[in-house]
Amino acid sequence: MVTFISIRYLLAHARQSIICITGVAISVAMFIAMTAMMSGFTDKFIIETVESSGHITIHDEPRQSDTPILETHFPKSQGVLILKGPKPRDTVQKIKNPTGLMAELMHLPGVLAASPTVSGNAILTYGTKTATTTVIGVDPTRHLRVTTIGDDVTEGSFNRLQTTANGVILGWGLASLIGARLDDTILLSSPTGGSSIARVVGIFQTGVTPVDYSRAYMLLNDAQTLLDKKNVVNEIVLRTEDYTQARELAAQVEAVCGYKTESWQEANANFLKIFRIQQIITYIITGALMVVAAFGVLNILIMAVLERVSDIAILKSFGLSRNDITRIYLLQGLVIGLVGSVIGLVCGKLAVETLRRIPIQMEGLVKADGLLMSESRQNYIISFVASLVIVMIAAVYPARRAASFDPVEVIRGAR
Amino acid sequence: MARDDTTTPLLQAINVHRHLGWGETHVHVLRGVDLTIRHGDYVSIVGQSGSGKSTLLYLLGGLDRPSVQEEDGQAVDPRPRVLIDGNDTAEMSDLALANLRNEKVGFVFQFHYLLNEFTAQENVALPIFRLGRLKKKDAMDRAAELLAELGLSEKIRRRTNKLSGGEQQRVAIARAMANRPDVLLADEPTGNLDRKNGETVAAVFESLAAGGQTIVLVTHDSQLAKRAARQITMEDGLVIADHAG
Repeated sequence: MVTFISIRYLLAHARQSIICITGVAISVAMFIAMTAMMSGFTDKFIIETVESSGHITIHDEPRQSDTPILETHFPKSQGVLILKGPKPRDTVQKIKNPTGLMAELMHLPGVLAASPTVSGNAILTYGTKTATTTVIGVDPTRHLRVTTIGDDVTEGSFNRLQTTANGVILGWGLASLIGARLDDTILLSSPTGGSSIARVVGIFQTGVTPVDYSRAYMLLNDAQTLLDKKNVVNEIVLRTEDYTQARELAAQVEAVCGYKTESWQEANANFLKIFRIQQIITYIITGALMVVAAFGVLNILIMAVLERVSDIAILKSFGLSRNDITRIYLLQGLVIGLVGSVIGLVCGKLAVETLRRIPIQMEGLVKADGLLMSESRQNYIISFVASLVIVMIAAVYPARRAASFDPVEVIRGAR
Repeated sequence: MARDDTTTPLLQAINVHRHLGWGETHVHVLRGVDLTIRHGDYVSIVGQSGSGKSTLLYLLGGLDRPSVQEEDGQAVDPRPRVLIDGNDTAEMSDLALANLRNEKVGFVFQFHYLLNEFTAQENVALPIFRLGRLKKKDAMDRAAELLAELGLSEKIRRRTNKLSGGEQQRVAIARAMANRPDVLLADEPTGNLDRKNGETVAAVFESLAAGGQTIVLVTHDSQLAKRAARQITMEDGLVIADHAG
C-alpha cells in the first residue's frame, strides 16, 4: 500500500518529479564524465610513465654513506676530533657487479625482468639547433622486457640500436625541437667532454611530454663511451608482476641490494600529488552538484508534504502508522534517486563516448589526439550509490516531518 | 442486526480529561468524562461548540490520548483511560494503536478528506490494503461493493474531486466501513452538506445502525441527533445528559 500511494503521489506531480529526476541524472552524468576525463588524463600519464620508464629503478647511490674516517678509528671517543687536510677520493658512482645483482633480484618474488642502464646528460646538435637531453644507454633486448618503449617507437625500430653503429632513438619532442628526422645524423656531446656522431634510428612517442622532450636511447656501450662512464651501470630498471605493488617491492629490493631504490610512485610523487588534488577537486565539484540536486528533491518533497497535510491526517486516522507515512515519502525519494541515477548512468556513459570522439589536439603534460576518457566500474558505482544516498538523506526530513503531523490538530485546524 | 455482546463494552471512557495548549492558550477541554458505548449502540453526541464532543470522539477512536496530568503537572486521579474493545489506548504503542484503528474503528469527518489522486474505489480500498487480509483484487471488489451499497456503483472509477459533496461524503463513509469496523465514529458528517445530501447521509447512518453497526456521531444538527437511539449532551467538557432517543 505504501508503494501504491508513493507512486501515485509521484505521478500526480509528474512535472516536479521529472525536474527532480533530471537534477539527479545531470549530477550523476557530470560525475561520470568528469571523473572519466580526470582518470583518463591520470591513467594515461601513469601508464605511459610506468611502462616507458619501468616499475622500479635502482640508483647508484649507496643506501648509507660510509662511516667517516675518525669515527671508524675512534668509535667511542669523548673528545673533539679534528682531521686536517683530508684528500677526497675521486670515486666513480656505479652499481657494483650489476650482472650478479640482477641475477639475485630475479629470484625475488614479483620481479619479472631487470635491465641495466647508464644515464647522463648530453647536448644534441643538429645543424644549428641544439637541445639538452638525458641519454639512456640500454641493452635493447633486456630493456624491451622491462618497458614498453619499443611499442612507442613511431618511426624506425628500437632493435635498430643493435644493428646500427652509434644509433640513437629520440623522443618526438626532442626530434622536433632540433628538426631531426629518421636516419638523420646528429652530434651528441656530454659535459665530460665526450662526443659522438649518432644516427637517428628511431623516434618514439609515449604521449607523456616530459619523457618525449627529454629522453634519447642509445646502446649501453655507446652511451658509456659518450658519458665517459666505461663499464659503468648506474641504474637497474625492474619490471614487476603488479605495478601497483611497486612501492612495497622497492623496499624489499633496497634491502637486498643496498642501493637507493625508487618505485614509480616515488619517482613521480609530485605529479601523483597534483593528480590527487585534481581528483579531490573533481569529487568536490560533482559532489556539490549532487547536493544541489538533493536540495531540489528536499524542496519538492517538503512542498508535497505541506500540500498533503490533510491526506496524511486521514491516512493516519484509518490506521497508517508514523513508519508508514515516513516510508511513503522515503520511497518517493528512493524512486527519484533510483530513476535519476539510472538515467544519469546512461547519460554519463553517452557523454563519455561522445567526449571520447571529439577530436581535440591536447598537448600539455600528456599529448593526445582527443579527450582521454577512462571509465571504471568503481566510478559508476560510486556515483550511483552517492547520489542515491544523498537523495535519500534529503528525503528523510520531509518524510519525518510528514510522519510527525498530529491528525487531530490537522482535522481541528480544518474545521 | 445488533450483536449480543454485553460482557465487554466496545468503547469506554473513564475519568477522561484532555488539556489542549499551554499557558495563555491552555484549554481544559474534557473535565472527567465517563462514558460507555456497547456493541450495536447508535449514539449521537450534541453540545455547543467547544463543549468537547469532537475531542471526546477522537479519544474514543484512538486518534488521540487522554491527558494524564493536570495543567500544573499533578497526576489526574483516577488515571484517565479510554478502552477500545478492552484495549487501553494509553498503554498501547503508536503502531499498535494505528493497527487497532485500522481494524476496529472507522472515522467520518465533516470534510470528506478523500485523496484526490485516487479513484473512489481506491480511496475505499486503502484501509483494506493496510489491513492486509485481502488480496488487491478482492480488496478492490469489496470497495466496489461498498460503494454500490451506498448508490455509487456508477462512479467507482471517478477521481474523488469529480464527485459532488454528498457523493464524496458517501465515499468517505464507505472508506470508514471498508474493514467492517466495530464502530463508526462520525464528526459532523452532514455539517458540510446541503439539506438533500445531508438527508441522504443521515439515511445511510440509519441503515447501517439498523444493520447492527455501532455508530457514534457528533453533530450540531438536532434532527440528525434525534434519529440516534441514544443521545448524549455535553457542556463545558462534561456529559450532562445521556438518554435514549
